[in-house]
Amino acid sequence: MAVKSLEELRKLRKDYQETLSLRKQGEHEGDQIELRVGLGTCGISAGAKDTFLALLEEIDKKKIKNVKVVGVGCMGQCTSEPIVEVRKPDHEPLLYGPIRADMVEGFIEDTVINEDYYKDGTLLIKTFEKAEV
Amino acid sequence: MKERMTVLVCGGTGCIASDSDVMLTTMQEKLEELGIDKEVRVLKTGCFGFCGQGPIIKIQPDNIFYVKVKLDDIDDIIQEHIIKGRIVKRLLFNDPKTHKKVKAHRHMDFYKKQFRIALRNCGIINPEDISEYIAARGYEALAISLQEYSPMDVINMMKDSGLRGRGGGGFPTGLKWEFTYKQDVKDKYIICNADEGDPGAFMDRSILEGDPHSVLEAMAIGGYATGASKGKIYIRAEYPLAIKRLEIAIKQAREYGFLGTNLFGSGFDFDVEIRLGAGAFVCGEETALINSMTGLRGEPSKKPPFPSEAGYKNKPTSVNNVETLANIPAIILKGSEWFNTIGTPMSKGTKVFALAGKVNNIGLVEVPMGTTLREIIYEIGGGIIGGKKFKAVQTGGPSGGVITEEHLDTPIDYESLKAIGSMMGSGGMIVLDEDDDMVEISKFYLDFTQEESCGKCTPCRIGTKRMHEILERLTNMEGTPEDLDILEDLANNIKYSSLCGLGQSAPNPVLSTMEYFREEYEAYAYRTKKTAYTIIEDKCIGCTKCSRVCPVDCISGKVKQVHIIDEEACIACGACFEACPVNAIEKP
Repeated sequence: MAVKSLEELRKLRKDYQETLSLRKQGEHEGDQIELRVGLGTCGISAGAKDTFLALLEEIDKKKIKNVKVVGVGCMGQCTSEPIVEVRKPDHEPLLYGPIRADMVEGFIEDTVINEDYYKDGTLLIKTFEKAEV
Repeated sequence: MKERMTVLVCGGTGCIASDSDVMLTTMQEKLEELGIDKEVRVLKTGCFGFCGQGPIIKIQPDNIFYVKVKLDDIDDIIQEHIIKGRIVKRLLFNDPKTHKKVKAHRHMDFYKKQFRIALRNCGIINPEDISEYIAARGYEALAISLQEYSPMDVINMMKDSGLRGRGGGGFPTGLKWEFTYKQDVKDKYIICNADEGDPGAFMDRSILEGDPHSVLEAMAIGGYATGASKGKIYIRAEYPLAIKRLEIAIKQAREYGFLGTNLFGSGFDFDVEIRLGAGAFVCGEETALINSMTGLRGEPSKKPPFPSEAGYKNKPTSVNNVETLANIPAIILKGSEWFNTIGTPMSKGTKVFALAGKVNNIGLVEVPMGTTLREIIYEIGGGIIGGKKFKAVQTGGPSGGVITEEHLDTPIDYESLKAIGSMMGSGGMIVLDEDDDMVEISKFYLDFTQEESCGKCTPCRIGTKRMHEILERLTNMEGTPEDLDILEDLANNIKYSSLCGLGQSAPNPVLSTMEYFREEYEAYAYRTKKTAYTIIEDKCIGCTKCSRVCPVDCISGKVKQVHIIDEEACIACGACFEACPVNAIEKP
């Protein structure tokens, strides 16, 4: 499906933005929760892959349907890896770190099932602004 | 989340050092006593990036930011703010510029020192899913360039934006493209230099792992501007994840028609191929990189001819660094004027740094050019671990030098870093504290460069080896004062007679540390350097703590009597120093 013009690309962008809007603003209408794990080499060496797999396993085990786990690139805060970002509809995204595999059970319990803050974790502050293209 | 208020207490290393963790528990206990712990939630957060004003407490949803909070202030915050809803004015931040109290977090200059252009999508989009990149206006810069701009328009935009090469050299990107464009030759190439080799640097890797499409898009734009229809990415095999994500990205881009033939119906063809390098530092130098890609030894060749005249397969070639490329789609989308407003007069835009060493918040940071080192180290980095004294910051890796306290307020750009004997380099930034030995640091870098020297030219091959031998001699306490003159002489000769950038810059770590920390070299050369810890007699209370922690049992003394360290046996591990309750132990 080759994109043949700028107009076509812009139309495609709009479609994709709707799926992504949940991530950006947390304004999605459904009840989809998204967990994003920083999976750069640095994150992985700090155990992010284990966290990622533990999240998938836990969601499977608890038969949770409205959660999507996504791997992203480096989040930049090496000190706090592995980092997990929680994106919920109508909420500002929250970053937690470090979230090790053995913390995942409590993490899912607090953030997804009880829809609360993760009380045993450290909330991270986003310390940058980015170019809005 | 039914609570009416959230109290965020900073749990960053810097704030914990000033008891923020005690404040957190105190706050919780007091709220429980008052029976309002259900409606007011206390949470521990990571670093706010403003440790100089710590400990920090933020209250939401009011968005009030309290600084330099003390344990005694907790009562006031609860009684006044939480219960009565009145802001505790004395705890607000006093803006040094306007001398006004600042309430909200987002109104503070220092907050969000970081501004991300090259890393704009890193950690935000899924790098293995092209639809996320498209949703972030991906490939639009390419489509606009092809449909609305001529190659010369694109080049002029780059020139106007003031973008300079982020690999370290700082050559204007627009000019580089123009040289390639002007060559009247049919086959041209654009190469992405992803041979990131400085110890401690991982900027390019993170971009390729987190946002590979932005680099591919920029290469296609560069190909269009310079007239190249083939792109090559030279990446070291030690970056398997970056390679994997690039491969996925290339495959997806081909499916969408962003790579291949007749892009966006414009008639322009462009495709990208990945070439793996074996991880030689010298191959980051463009001529050595091209030689390596051609199948020759990874050795530099003489310039001119420049790659823009005769590069890969002797055809005009533009070699651009990963971070440089990652900036380009944003410049096309937002315009060169926008980019031009960020940074300093000579250096525009931002720079990504890999902040490492003895700082509290190590990490990947992107700041506008002109940000000072002090801001990076103390505000973003959160200061030195354990409150120790700052000694120097090493920038530019094995090609750079050290920057000391007196130059901490230097705004970072290509020229000013050069003026103080260091360089921008690719962006490694290693912070050193009072415990670091500068001679050992230079030896570490020289050990690296002499091993990475390709051997083609004599000054670099033999010279760096000899320099390393002298440093080895010095640190083994076998050197002489004459060694310092020989070292300096040798360093200058290598600097001025080597063939390529590796040799020309290899002596920099030595020259720069010799300039600022000559006394440390002299201590070795005159063999006056103390290598053992000692006990200050007047201060010792004879508690025996030091002798109990000493791993080599070299501290003797009876209870309530002055202890003595056997300097011959001391291994300078520092255990006694940490254990002493009265600061009676002196470092070597």
